[in-house]
Amino acid sequence: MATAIVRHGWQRLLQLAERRLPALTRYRNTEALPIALHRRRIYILPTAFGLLFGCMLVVMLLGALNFNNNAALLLTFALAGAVQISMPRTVRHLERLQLLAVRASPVHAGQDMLLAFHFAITDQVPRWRMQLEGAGRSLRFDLEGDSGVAELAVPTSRRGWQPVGRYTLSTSFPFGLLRTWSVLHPDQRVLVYPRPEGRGPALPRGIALDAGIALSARGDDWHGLREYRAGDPTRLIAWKSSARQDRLLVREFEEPRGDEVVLDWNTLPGLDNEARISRLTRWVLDASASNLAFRLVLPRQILGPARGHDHVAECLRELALLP
Amino acid sequence: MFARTRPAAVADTLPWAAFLATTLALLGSILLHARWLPTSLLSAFLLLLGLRVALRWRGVARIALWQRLLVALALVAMVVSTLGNLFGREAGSALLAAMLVTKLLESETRRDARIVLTVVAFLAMAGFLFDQGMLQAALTAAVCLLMLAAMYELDPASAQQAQRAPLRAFSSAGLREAARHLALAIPFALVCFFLFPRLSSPMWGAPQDGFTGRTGISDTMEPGALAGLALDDSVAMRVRFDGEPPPPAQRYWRGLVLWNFDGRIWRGSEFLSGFGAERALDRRGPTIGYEITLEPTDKRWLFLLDAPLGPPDDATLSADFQARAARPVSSALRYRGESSSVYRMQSELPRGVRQLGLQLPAAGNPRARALAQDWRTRVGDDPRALADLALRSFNQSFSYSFEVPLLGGDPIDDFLFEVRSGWCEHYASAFVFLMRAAGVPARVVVGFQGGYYNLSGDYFAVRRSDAHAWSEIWIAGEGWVRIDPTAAVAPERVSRDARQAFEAGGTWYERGWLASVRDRFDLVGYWWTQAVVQFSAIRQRSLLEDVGIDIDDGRQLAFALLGAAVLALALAALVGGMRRRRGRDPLREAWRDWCKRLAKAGIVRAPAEGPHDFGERAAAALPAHADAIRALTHGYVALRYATVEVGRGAVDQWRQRARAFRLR
Repeated sequence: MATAIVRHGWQRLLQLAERRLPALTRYRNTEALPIALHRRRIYILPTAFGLLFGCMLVVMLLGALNFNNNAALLLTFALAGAVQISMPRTVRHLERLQLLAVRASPVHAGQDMLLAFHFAITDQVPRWRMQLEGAGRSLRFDLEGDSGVAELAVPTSRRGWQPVGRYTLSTSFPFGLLRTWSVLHPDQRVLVYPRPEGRGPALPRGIALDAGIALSARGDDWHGLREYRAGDPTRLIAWKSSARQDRLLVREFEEPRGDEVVLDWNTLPGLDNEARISRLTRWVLDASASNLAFRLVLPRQILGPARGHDHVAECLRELALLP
Repeated sequence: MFARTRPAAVADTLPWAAFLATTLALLGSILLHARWLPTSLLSAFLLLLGLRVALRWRGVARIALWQRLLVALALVAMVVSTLGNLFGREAGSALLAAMLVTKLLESETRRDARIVLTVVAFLAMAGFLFDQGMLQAALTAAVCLLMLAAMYELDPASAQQAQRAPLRAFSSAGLREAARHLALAIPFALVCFFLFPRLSSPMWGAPQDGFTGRTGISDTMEPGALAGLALDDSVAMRVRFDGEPPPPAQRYWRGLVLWNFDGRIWRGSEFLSGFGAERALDRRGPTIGYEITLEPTDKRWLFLLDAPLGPPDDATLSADFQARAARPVSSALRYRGESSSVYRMQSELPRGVRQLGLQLPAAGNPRARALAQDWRTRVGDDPRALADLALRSFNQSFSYSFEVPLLGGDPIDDFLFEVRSGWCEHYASAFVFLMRAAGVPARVVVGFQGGYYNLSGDYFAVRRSDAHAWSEIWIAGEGWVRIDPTAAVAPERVSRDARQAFEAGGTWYERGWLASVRDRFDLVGYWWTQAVVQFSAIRQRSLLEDVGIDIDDGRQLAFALLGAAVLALALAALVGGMRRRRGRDPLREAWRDWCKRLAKAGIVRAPAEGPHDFGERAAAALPAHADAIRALTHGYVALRYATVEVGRGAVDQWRQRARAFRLR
């Protein structure tokens, strides 16, 4: 309860700061990549542990002064010095880093998207114990060599082009006494595919104009058996049936051919736009899973017929970008 | 915008390595107090820590609340029963350690461990309330190193770093960071130390309970008391003479004078300490000036070369020439003294003092009394002749030894007629007893004898093992005359120092290079005492006045402190930055080496030339090696601009191939 009030108050304070202190929040606007971290945009504050340790140092100082104990005084100053030294050390952990790019493979809305943050390390000093936070997620990672990638899985909710959003890169290296951070808000968008319908009607089949079925040795649906012809691969021979029939029989599959599957926006009356998009997305995924060639008919364009990864990707992209 | 969900609560559980590191830091800070913690308490702490580690290793992380409460109560009860109370220096430190141990029993989160580490810093500091010596300081520095390294382990690591051998508490990176930070903090610490204003009077009471921790000369003397010090090699005081030091046989450091004997124990006389004005010393030789740095004793008496001409500053000198400081010496004290080796002390003996010098218990030690009477009938009441008889008897049939069996109800009799071997205090005690029984005023003097000359530092180190007891008898016309009965038994005890008297050829630390190592070590300890432990508001004032800062001007001092501190930090940051930039990419280093070798063959890479172009040009210039050069450049490009993570092994392989490349 108390923590909730404190947290609420803190959020209010942050909002106020964002309104009133543009200098502090300047980097909350989007920026073009690459983003180089320099000391003017790196902030530092003690952590709760740092505050506690600082209080302890003050107590030690008072005790040492009071008892006129020189060795204790020297110890106190040495520890205070170590804390001071860790301040530039912590800031330097973020300095001379560069965010080169943010990349992601598209996912469907509702799924987690893996955002790959590509960093360049200008001075090639390893950066241990970095933390990336944003979109309610956080990640701890190390950077080594002259470049590195941090992959943060973020949740998605809406289809279409989405801004990457604002992230905080922070570290409390080396002792956890001080936390230094910088806000990264790259001007970059990523594509989110529509959410597929969860449980809908099956893929519409057989409504195509020139329906035709090719029988072949490939395909998914088992059609029947026929007599063996010279040249048939032996793996297709149905041995049990052959034994029963006393002649060699070969399994045969049916495979849809041509523009057999048409996924048509206009044949889905009674549904609103999003529901149509959702259902079409489901069908595209189903068709892709069955390796069917299909045609996607959208209000302004017709895609296909074709099959394969590129076609599927294009269809999903167009579905995602529908108004 | 993406959906914002509340961040999942970060798992705050304590990893094994971080737990172990915290435990070790705590153990270190407790061991800093090992010398004065009661053994039972110390072993209880160690046992509990060991138990906790073992249980957690076996997977038992939680210890029930009632068990923890029980442990806490038991520890507090132990503190009270062994130390008598809950307040004061010993009990406070013991209680703090007990609380930390109890806290560690329940520490299962980083937050808990951080609280433990914060208090560990305080416990480490509390060790200086007992001992500010250099060894303690070095050990405390080591504990601070562990503490910072444990903090490093507590900072949540990434997944790949967390996969480490579970038994390894400290990572080398953590230790390195801690050491670096402490080393770079030294200038800042020194600047603050010398410039930070000191309190002229304490804000609250200084710890009162004094002596328990320190060994040293106590204010009574009983058989075996000084022998316990014989093996304590720590330095009791260091002396620097203004001019030529007196010969070894004259180096008697007068401390206490003991008058009252109850048959077993010698005690000082409160009666005489008030008669400071009546002391009378007739100097007959040159004045010897010297400066003494006395390690803390928590007692008020000071040691001076026999016989002191006057009291040091802030001290008094009593009628029997005991110097007493105004306050107990709780931290190292430096004072000046002036003495003379040739003197006549108190040639007139007041009646009261004479009685004091002849006091003996009413009964006991009958054989010794009979012996004294026998001597008196033989040589009359000539003190010198009586003393000679006693010394001759010691010299003929007595020996000098640490191992003295416990003496019985008549210790003097037992010593004189049964055991016939002993340590300086036995001889002093028996001699004074015999003299008093024969009617000669006599007293026991306790102090140090000898001193080991430190060549590197040009001072004498007087060790606790140099503690000595001798006697003085009063002779009409000569005053109090020092007679050292030990010298009659073992003359080398006086001409050399205590331990050497037993070991032929000098002690181990006086042989060859070891002697010089030990000298230097002791010298560093001396510097530490002089520069740090002894630093006071007065020294600070004079030091600051030397550089033109008025300590009473608060602003001036604040500016000086701030400026110097910032300068020290900037220097540290600069040094730290320089060191870091040197650590470079191994692949780039190997590539540069290879380019240098090609440059020797006349093919110099232009600054803007990429590796591909350079490789092609080199291959064209050296057709015989074209394949090898192309292979190396391609390999380098593949590694340098790799799209996948490159392992260290691949880089090493490339370097080996580049090294194997020969132009001929």
